Amino acid sequence: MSGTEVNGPVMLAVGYGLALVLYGGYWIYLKQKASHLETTLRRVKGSGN
Amino acid sequence: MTALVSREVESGSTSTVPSTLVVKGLGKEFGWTRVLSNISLTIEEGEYVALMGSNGVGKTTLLRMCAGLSVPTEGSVSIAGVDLRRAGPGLRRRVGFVSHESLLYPDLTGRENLEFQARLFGVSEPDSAIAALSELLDLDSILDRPAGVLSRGNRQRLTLARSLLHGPRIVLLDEPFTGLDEDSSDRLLKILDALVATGRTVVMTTHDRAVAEAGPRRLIVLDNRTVAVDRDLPVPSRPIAPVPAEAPAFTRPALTTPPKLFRAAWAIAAKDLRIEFRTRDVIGSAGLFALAVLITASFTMPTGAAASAGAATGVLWISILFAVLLGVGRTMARESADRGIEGLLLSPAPRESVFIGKALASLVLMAVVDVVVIPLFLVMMTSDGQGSNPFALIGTVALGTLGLVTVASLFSGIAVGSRLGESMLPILVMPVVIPLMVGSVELTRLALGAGDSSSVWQWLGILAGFDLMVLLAAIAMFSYVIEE
Amino acid sequence: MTQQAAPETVHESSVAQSSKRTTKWLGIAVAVSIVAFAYASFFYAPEDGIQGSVQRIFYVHVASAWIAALAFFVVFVGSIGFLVTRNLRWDSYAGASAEVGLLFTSVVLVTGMLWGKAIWGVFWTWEPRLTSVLVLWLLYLAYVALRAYVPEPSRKARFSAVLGIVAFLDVPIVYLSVKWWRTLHPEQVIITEQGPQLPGQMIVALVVGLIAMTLVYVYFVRLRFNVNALEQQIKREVAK
Repeated sequence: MSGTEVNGPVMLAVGYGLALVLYGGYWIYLKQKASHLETTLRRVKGSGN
Repeated sequence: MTALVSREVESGSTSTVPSTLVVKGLGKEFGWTRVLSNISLTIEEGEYVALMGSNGVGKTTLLRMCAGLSVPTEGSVSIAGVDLRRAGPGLRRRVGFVSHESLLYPDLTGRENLEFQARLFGVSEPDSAIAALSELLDLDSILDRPAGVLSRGNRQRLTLARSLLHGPRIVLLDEPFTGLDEDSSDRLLKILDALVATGRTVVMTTHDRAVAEAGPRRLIVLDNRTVAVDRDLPVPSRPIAPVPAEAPAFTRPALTTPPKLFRAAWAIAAKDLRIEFRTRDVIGSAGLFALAVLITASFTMPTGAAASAGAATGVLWISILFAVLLGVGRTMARESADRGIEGLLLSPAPRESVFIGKALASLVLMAVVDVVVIPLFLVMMTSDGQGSNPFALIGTVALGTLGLVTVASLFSGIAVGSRLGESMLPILVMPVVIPLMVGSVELTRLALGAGDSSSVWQWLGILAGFDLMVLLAAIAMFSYVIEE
Repeated sequence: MTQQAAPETVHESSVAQSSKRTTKWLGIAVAVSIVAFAYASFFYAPEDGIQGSVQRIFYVHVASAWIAALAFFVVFVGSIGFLVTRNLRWDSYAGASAEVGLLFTSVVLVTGMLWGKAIWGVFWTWEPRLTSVLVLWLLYLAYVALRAYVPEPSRKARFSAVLGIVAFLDVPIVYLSVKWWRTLHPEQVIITEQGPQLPGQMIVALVVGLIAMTLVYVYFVRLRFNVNALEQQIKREVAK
């Protein structure tokens, strides 16, 4: 069962799926990090030096 | 002592300009930590200054910037009107710096350390200068012992000698009295007095009030990252030692033009090779490692000529690669031990010569390792010697080792500056040298008679091209690596 | 004696974020282009006669590869820019581009491996292009690792710049050597290359992919750069 016709669509789906996961995951990571940092920044600024 | 009368030959117009130290608007940050801010002061030639302040206030940082070891974040430091960032060899010779670290090479004797210093700074009669300093600082008993075994007080005297050898006009000392017994302290005070009496500038940091009032005529206190106090001090109550009738040795050693690129590089390489000759650190570890890899790997190889020829050359080059990583890593790490690298940075030697010198020394040592490893490889791995071209083999090994040493030398400066230290070196080197490894393995196989010889020139081109690229890049960029 | 406001310093240059509005519009453009790209690669482009549907992976694979190369070039430019100007913004862009470039290179490798499994039957083969991408990935990794292990900002910038420049200059040599290495030892599998005689619709899909991936790259670099800036702002506040 190693014919290209069987594997093809699966690999295609997995390929685009992984690309989506990697790019999307990185985007989510950056967004989360930015909002977390913004909160931290506000907290650090607010506690006034 | 007539030999010590100055025959100073200094290029450039700064030779008669007074060595006034001018600090203007100086600031220093490490990351976001501001250490110094808006510092401005002028120290004329011949002043005797005590720089005080609590621990961590930035005295050492300020002094290091005056020595040219640290780059200001803002503002400037200039000596004789020349900004230290653009300091030439002549300017560097005007400064002597005595820091916490000894800047000595522990495996060399005191004399050898001083001789090395003399070579780098262009002291033309090193033996007389060393002899005179030895008399002044009472070094006779310690000059011929390795610097690493000396006590703190002895090492201090040697460090002082090292920084005075070239007759600097400005002497900067960082907490020089720490850890000295009473006798040594007295002696040091007398030496500093004599330095000032002969027209030298002396700036020393201390946190001990008694020391500050024992000789210096000006007090600068740092507080809250800037200059808080800057006033004159009364003449100290203790008697000042009379200046000896004969000019003390350190005032004006005979100087010549400091060595330029290749001679400086050769001096540095010779120093490294001498240390290696004595300790056999690098050859021992790198050589034994390469042997261990080869021998162990041969147990994992399939037997049979065809199979082993391909894989064996791969293993050979892996063992050479790791030997280089180990060896060059050690060579560079030696400069970190007592901050010897700063001794090199303080000297007039061009930065590029530091790279060339260290790479040259590593190359020589790796050549020795190669000479041991290659015959063993030939004996153990290859079944027949037919079709082998020994010249091609030697040439390939030479080119490959050169490329590896160059990359490793450049990156070892980076590695020792990272949190991982020497362990960072393989991570940086291996991806970059992949084309070199591929080419070296191919050429080695060809040299041993296997494979299609029409591709020789291609691979030679790759190797030569790679070596040239990394050599030029390393020489151009090494100064950025060791900057601070 | 009053404390003056801290003057503009080296590190101050790493603090400013890029404009938030532009970033938002960029994000929208990215979303639009990705939808267009998905349509183009799954529906608009015709199916390949030989390889079947799996060939469609080519679009994201090749587009990402171009960006991976572009990102490396940006690291190179940023490295030179920093060494010349000593302004940390250049280094911040270089660092961001390297991280994003590592991501794109990973996608190239993964999609390449899956494509390979489908048409060659193996996940990996030492074929010149794939191998070169692997080396590129390793170089990126070394760069990112170096930055992770050098905490002090100006030292990190200097070291990264030196590595970035050497690595970039190394890339052509890597490609040549790998190509010749593989020419001498050809793999059993024959690589079906997508040559310049692509049917027009496939070219369109590829171009849409390139545009989409470029926008993604620029957007991600911007986001990463802003994260850097935020981190520096926090460090600055804490140090006060």
